[in-house]
Amino acid sequence: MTTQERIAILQGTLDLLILRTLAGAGQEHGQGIARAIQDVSNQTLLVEHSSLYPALQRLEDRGWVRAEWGTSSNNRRARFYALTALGRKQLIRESDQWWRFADAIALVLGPRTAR
Amino acid sequence: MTFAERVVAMLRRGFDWITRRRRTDEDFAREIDSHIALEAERLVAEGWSAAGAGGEARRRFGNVATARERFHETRCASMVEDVMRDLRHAARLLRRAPVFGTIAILSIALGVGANTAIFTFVNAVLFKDLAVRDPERLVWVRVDERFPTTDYPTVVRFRQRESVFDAVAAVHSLDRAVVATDHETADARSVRVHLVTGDYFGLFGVRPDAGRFFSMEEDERVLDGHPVVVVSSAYRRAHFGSASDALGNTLSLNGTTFTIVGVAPPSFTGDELGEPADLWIPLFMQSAVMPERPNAVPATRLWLRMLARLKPGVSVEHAANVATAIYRQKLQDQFAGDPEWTSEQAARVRVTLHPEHRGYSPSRADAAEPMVVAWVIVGLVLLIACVNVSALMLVRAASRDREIATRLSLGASAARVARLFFAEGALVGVAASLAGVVVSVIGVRWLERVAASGVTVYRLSIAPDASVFALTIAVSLLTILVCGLVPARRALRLASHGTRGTTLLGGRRLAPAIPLGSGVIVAQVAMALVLVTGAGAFARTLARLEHQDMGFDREHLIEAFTEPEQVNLKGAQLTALFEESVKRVRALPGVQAAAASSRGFMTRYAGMVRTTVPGYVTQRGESEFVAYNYVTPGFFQTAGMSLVAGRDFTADDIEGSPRVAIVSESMARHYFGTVNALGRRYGTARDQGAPIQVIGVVRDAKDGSLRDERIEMMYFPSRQAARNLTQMRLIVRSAGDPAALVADVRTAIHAIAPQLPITSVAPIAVQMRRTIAMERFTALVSGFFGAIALLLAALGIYAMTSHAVVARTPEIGIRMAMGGTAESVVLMILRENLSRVGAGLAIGLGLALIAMRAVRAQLFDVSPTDAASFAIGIAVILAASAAAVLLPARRATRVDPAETLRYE
Repeated sequence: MTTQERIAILQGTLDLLILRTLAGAGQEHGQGIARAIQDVSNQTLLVEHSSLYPALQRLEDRGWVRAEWGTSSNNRRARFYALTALGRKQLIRESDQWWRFADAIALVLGPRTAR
Repeated sequence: MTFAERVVAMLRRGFDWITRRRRTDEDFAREIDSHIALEAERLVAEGWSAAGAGGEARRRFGNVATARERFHETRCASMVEDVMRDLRHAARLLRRAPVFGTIAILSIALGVGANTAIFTFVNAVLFKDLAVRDPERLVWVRVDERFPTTDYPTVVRFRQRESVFDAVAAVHSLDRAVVATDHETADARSVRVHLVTGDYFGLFGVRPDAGRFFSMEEDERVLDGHPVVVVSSAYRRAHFGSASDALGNTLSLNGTTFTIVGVAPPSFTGDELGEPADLWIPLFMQSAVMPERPNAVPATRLWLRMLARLKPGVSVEHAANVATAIYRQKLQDQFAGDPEWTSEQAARVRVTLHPEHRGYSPSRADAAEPMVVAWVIVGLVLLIACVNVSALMLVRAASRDREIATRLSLGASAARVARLFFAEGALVGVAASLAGVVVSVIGVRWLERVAASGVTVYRLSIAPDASVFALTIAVSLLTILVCGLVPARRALRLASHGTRGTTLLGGRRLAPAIPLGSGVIVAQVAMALVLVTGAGAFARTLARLEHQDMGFDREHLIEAFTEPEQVNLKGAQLTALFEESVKRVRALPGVQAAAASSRGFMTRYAGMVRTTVPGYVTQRGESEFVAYNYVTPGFFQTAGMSLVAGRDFTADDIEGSPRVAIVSESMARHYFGTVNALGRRYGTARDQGAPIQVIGVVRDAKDGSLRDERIEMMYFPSRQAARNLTQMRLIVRSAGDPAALVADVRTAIHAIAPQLPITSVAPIAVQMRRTIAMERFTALVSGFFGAIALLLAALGIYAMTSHAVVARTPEIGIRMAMGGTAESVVLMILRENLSRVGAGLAIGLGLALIAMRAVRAQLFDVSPTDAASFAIGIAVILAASAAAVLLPARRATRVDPAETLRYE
């Protein structure tokens, strides 16, 4: 896989994770989203924070999330993101795609064997 | 996403983009700050210290700069901002290198502007169509290959046969002096009058600016019945206020008053290229306008140029056949019963139609050739300029590797860096274009002035041609942007290969190969040599022309030109008038001598008469016509022409006494075989009867143009030729500066003959300068642009060499550390570059030889292989190149070996 392809996959995956996190959280700011992904995945998925924001911007550009400045729980100014209706639809679509992909790979790999 | 949803999303984005303020970089930065702060808080909650948390949060975030850069790039909606930012940055960079910027912009602006100006001019003179309706259908009808003109009855005849022509008109153009408007005193200057038939303007299909044009019913019915005039826009502007102001005013010419009924549009000045019409007068007023030749209209004298408009769909061949038949019939009717009119003559009749869409100009080619030469020169300079600027940009780019590397490592994408270089190129291009507009406007104005200062006056008023300007700009821009490609490509290459380590410090190691480098130098030197050699040749041509021996004194002579024909002054009356004028002028203070002649110096068109010399047989193809001049006694002394044998005319050589003549040296040698032709007799066609005796031989004097080789001329005493005298010019020899006497001479002549129009009184030197206006133009242009080419080539060499020195500094340092001397280094660099220069000179020499041969017609007394011009050219270029190479080479010797090695 070349650098370009690798980046593309990562981007797509990151988008999916963000959308899913927002679906659950309702409204969250960037740092919160990063932390959420980390925690929920048991620290397996460590998102590089700096690449989170361009991703969020992309989602915002495509109309899948909406953003506005607000105040966090500790009275700190932060930019909060939320899913739009379009984003919800996109989430469903991408999740389906991901599961189909995962199932296909699982079929090829065969049942899980003990290491 | 379905298609519909995608479209909706796009529309929504577009809408949002238009209505909502786009997100700024600052907003993004604030979000990042906020993120880091939140993360720090979280870390503190997880047990980190306050100070450590901040640092850790920042570390975990990653590269802030990259993120900002990436964000910045996704803002496709702010492309305009991007471009503006790039341009501003490019401007800053250019300002930091003002020398480069100035040279680049100026050289391209000069090349582009000059090209546009000259092409516009050449286009107007050579290629442009008349500003009339359907110029393609206009033809000039030539009924006889010996003469360009015909008579009025023929025009009428052609008009009656309408089968192939939509319209037929005729014109006779001439200069008239002393035309007075009612509120100004008589203007002694000549105006160009076109006597035209009633359908002339209809033929061209132009509309009047004000008032009306002529019509057949009104203006071509009764001879001398309708004294009206149409003025040109230029004339109207010079003498009246607005267009409607001119209407109804009157002009008086030769005592007849003409009423202005119309003003022609500014784009129409008749069909004679270079001789724009000032006034149009109906043909039927001819006798009033030309009192010296009354009643020409009904006569069968050939004096009218016939024009016609072809009917749509009619071919030129068919129309010519029909026209031939018409004319043959006309001649048949005219010469019925004349025994000289034979059937062979009838069969030989052939009418030819010539395209008129570009106007009528037998001398079009004369002005064209120097212009074309100038155009080639300017084109080459533009080429050199483009090549130069490209080379300079490449050199600059190559020396900015470090900057590129830094930018890339800071997260800028390769595309971004490439765009920056394009922005620089675009900036130079735009600035050069704007400057080029200014140059082209100035250039066109200057060319107009040059064209109007020669003997064949081209009074043109043109605007720089937009399409040519666009073309030259496009060419230059293309060149510049192509060179923007090379550094851009380097940036991309550096980006993909990774920039860390290799280039940040040892940037020089990526010694940029400029593969075009040597080729550039060779090409520039070659072209510069061609131009410099040409400039030298043209300059020497001009010098030779100006300083040659004319055969008469050109420092102290004034020539006064008059128009006695216009007031019907001729013959003995004219002679008496001029003798009186000569006497009066001789008495003026400051005048050494005065005399009159029928023919001025440097006159192109002058009388010739068939001459027969007993004992001389004319060779095949040789002309039997010899030029002649009627002069008053004392003429030769006044003019500074020395007699080599015999005597001058005296007051005794009058009508009735034996006919005498003084011949020029060349004529004596040619017809009599010896310079001493005293006593020999010969005859001319004009004086059938008494043969003429040669009583003197005078030195040759240049006539016609400065290039004429020799002139055979015979001089007759004015009193003995009274019958044939129709013209007289006064020449005056001044003790001091001739210009000081001009006013006095004019007054003196005017006092004697107040009705005689005096068209010009001027020192001969002034007139001579007019005859070489074109040569001066060529010398000026070639000199100026030759110098520019030289400068550009030198700059190019300098830039290349100094860049090469910089690139090879490590190598030089090593050499010197190993014991090489400064001189050896300099020699090495010199040798390499001078060999390129040498190659350029060799190629340039060949090209220059070809070029000189091509312009040989423009040269005077300078052969196409003139060694001096070539030697000068080579020497100049060698000197410039050597200087251009030495300066950076010397800098190379100051390289401190230790420093360079440390960099490694």
